[in-house]
Amino acid sequence: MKGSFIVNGKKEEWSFAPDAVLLDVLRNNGHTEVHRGCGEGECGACAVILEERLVNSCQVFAASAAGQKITTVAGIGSIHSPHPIQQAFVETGAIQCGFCTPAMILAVFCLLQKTPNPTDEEIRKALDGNLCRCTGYVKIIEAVRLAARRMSSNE
Amino acid sequence: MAVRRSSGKYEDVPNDRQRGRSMNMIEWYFPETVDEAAALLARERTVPHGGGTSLVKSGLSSFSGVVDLAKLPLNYLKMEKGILEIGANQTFASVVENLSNLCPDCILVAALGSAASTALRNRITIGGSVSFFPPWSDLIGPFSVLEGEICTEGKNSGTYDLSSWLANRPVQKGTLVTSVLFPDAADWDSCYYREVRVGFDYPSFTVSVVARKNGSKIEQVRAAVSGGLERVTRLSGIEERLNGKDLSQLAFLDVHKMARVTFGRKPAGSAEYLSEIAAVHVERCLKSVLLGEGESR
Repeated sequence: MKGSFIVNGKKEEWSFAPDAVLLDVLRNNGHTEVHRGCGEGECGACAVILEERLVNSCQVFAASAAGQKITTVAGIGSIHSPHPIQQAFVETGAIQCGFCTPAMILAVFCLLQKTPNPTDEEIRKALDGNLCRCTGYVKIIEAVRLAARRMSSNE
Repeated sequence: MAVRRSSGKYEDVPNDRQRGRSMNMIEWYFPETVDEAAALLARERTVPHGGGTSLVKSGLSSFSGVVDLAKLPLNYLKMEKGILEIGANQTFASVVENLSNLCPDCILVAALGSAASTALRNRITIGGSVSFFPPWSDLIGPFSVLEGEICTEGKNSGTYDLSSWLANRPVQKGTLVTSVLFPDAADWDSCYYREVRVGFDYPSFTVSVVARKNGSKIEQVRAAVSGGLERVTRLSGIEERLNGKDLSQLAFLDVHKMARVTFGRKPAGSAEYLSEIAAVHVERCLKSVLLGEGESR
């Protein structure tokens, strides 16, 4: 079957199997910044933003996402022009192997869109589905606090 | 799946599903009215998809049609004359957001807000959750104590209470869950506990307690444990002993004994262990709701 998607602001028309999940369709079409982790919806490495909501792309049928806006980490910043959240992750050392980072950044992006000055509890809640097996979460939470401060004050 | 090639590079190798080999005969339908959806669901081997994860996990190989419900006008939550109605397309995250404004102390806010993870709460719908009511459901306990009802359209259209819904699963075939009703959802003190090792874990069991008090008198208390062999168990013995009584009666009740629920063995522990721990948390939840002693997770 075929479906159109708006990925990072660009309209795409892709073919896929009726039971394909969004993760596979994105990766098969070059969006390898969306990482395949557990494939069960538990690790959060495959998270993307579907319309305004964070979702695990391994748990979304591509057919049911057709016609919708999808944002991957490549849609919010780049290595030459990082988003303040990405910059904060780098500066605080919240990245080790980096496998979980794209999805983690998107989870934080969604959080700060709704809650510009989150409490630590709100940060933990927003990241409850994103597992990091390298750094632990202390640096990550520090990065979120830093990003929130900078984005609120436009530092 | 990533495999390592002889060159030393890792490469994604698609599995059967990714290659589309598992089946290509599935038709997706995107109805815009409930009637249209109900007509489609009357067909053989056709399954509804609200957006949640159950179908992704089970796979589509035994179906020839999938009815995507996302365009149906069922994404609403309203409170009218004390009756809370939640459309089947509301996700857990939407319910928590909407209910936080309308009725922030409702037990549904605590229960659905702690279910699964943020990304999954953004996909799991009320309709899908009611259809499956999995053993780890965070909805079924609060549903039981709030005495919710399930509204359906299609082959078996009607309104079902929880016990008749659970007892007669074939009723769901060819039938579309359109909404759930809670006739009396507001103004309850509540406590919700889920037994997990880490936050996003599937709970081994949940405890739901709601109560209304008038001074030192217990007007009504309702308690339920989910996750046992009976899916959800209302603790009617405890309720009967406390309803209409003074708060001090709680101290004379052997809650620990009366709250025993039968479990099967689970990864989190033996049946005996889970039964014991669940009883402890029923007692704590009752103390929290009735006496204001802390318990929530």
